[in-house]
Amino acid sequence: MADENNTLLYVDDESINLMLFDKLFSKNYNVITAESGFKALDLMQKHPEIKLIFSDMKMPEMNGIEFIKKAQQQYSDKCYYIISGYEINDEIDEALTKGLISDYFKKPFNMVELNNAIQKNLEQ
Amino acid sequence: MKFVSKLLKYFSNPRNNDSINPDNLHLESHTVFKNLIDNPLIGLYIIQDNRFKFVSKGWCNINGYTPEEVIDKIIPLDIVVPEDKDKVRSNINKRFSGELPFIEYSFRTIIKGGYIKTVKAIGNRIIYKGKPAITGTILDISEQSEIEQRLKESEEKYRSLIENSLVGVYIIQDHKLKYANNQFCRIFGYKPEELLGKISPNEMVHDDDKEYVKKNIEKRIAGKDNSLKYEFKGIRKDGKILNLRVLGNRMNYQKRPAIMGVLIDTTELIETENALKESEHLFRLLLESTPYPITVIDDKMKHIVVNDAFCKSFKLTKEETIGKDPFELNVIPPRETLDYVEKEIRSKGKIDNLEITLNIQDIEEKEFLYSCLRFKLKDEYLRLNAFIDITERNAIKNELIQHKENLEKLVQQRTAELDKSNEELKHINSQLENQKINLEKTLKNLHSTQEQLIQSEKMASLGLLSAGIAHEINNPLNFIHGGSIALENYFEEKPECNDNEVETYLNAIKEGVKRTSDIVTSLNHYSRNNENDKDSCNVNKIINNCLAILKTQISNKVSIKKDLKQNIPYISGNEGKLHQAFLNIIYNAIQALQSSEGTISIASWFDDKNIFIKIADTGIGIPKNIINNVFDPFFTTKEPGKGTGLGLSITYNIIKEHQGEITINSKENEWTEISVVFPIIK
Repeated sequence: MADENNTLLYVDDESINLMLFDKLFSKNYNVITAESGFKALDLMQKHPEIKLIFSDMKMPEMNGIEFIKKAQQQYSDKCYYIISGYEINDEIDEALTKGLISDYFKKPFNMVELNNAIQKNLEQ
Repeated sequence: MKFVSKLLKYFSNPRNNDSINPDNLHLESHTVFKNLIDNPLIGLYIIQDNRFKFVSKGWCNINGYTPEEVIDKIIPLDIVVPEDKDKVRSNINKRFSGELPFIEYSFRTIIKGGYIKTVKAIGNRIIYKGKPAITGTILDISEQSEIEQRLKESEEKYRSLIENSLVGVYIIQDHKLKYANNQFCRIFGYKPEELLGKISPNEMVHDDDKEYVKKNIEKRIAGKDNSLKYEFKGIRKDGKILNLRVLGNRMNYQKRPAIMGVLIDTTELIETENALKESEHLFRLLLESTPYPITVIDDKMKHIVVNDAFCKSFKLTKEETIGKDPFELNVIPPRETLDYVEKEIRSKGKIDNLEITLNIQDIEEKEFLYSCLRFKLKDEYLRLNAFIDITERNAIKNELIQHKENLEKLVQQRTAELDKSNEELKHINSQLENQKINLEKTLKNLHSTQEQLIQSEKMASLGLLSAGIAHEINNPLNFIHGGSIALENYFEEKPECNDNEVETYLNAIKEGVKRTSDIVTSLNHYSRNNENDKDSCNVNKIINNCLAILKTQISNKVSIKKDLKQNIPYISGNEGKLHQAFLNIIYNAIQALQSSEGTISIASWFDDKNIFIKIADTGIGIPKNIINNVFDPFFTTKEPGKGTGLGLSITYNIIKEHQGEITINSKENEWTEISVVFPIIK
């Protein structure tokens, strides 16, 4: 069972993705999911233990980068990642350069790459 | 002579002579007889018995003999010329017989020395010494006879002269023609027998002149004018009017007054004269009206004819000119011209249009075309000189020459200017040509750019599309992938269900997800065309992506041999564009094989500085003559519409943009090999 220190937040407008992410990572980590950026911000307030945030890029109302920018303003000590069906684009590239996000993963995501990133981060 | 003749007659009278006896002469009139006998001009003789019995001193004087040589010695007929012998014998016989006792006749006698004299003899029969004899006297009439002969001859001569004269000769008396010579008859067209005594001279005069002629004839007949010369109009037998000129003289014809005249037909003469007058008039007119100076000079160079034009040209009057030579008139050409003129005239007799310069009265110099003709008139050589004043003409000519020269200069100048302009134009033209070529090139480039833009736009659209599609596919792929992992985990937790079969199925799902994901990724890569050329690009990855995209295009007869060097360095560039470049190269290789069996070999390697990629096919190859064109925009061997001809051009441009090099080699119908070299990012 995952402890509170291993809490991950996954934001995606696709509920199947949320469900699968939870199923795959909840075995080792404490997984919280949100279907929008606004919801995610609420959840982050409720769960300050959230250490890593994975966000989809293309979402209605607020896309991944917009959400992360807002989240960063409040929770700059956390690590943010983008997982997108899109190829890397200028917006993501800029976010990477500015350090807004720690890394970018492409869907369908590779479990091993994701795990490596989480492990690397949590060890710090 | 008359006296002698009378005497002779007296003595010769038979009545007086019957009793005369030479012996008795002195008895009757001794002195007279003595004188008579001694008269040296009268020859007395007595013939008896065919011999001279007495000859007087005069006889001897005439005949040249002495009485001793004659008396009883010479037979009288012996001294008569043979032609006259018969006449003399007959007359002597007649006298002897008494048939014609008194005869006067003349004959020719041969005097001593053989000369012949004509003598007139008057003989009579006498009784001398009781016997019949003949006495006679002879007179030397040789001289007289000669005169008569001469007169006769003269008359013959004059008659003939008059008859054959070329003037008409006539005698008029009693208003009738008494004589007319042949020429007179000819002039009037009559025969002599038609004229003489038959036609009144009046009828032969024209009505106009009848009165006048009549008066003239009367005047002469009346002796008022011995000689009269006048002209009148006559009428020929055929009616033609004649112009006649007569010279009539009063004369006595057959002891009565008559007119003898000579007459000339001047009809032709007058006609000729008129013609001459006309001719002269024409000549004068021509001479004076011609604008060209004309002169005639005699053999002493003195002017005998000059015309007005000459006077005008040479500023002289006719009076000043006539009789003077050119030296006196001070119109002499230069010495050498003069010499030449003389030489020509002497050798050829003429000069035609010689250009000469003459000083006119020291006022001006004039130029002439001078012609001269030497001709003979009345044993004298004259020269006809004609001048054509060409001063003005020459002036105009010179002016024209000047003008011509100026014009030529002008033309040359203009030509030079034109040449220059032409050169400039040519230069401009070639510049324009260059500009045109440049413009064409630019236009071509523009077309190429446009095509590239279109292509880029297409690509961009395709990029957007593929990005959207990728996203939409990637999410479900994430479901499948996530689901398959979840299933894997699920079966791991339930060992009773964990057999190989499940794992096989899950692997199949995973493989499907991977391949789908690869295609979507490659599409994404291909579509990437952002302005950022600073991507770090992995050429191996790009090649693989291209192969993935083109997989459906590759026939199963074609084998792909990949030899891509691991850990190949990145190159700096635009990933999307590089995809496009390699996609074109590989797609061309596929098409070169035309679905037949063959191989596409793709290799990559690198050294310290460069990355090398070689893409070769065993296709149709490229003909040598067009291999240099394959990178040109719009160059294509495909049918229209089947290819833009931009593929390799875009590729070339992209490689160049990435500081790379692309080269192509081929052997027709065998193979094609494209090599690309990129510098490694440092």
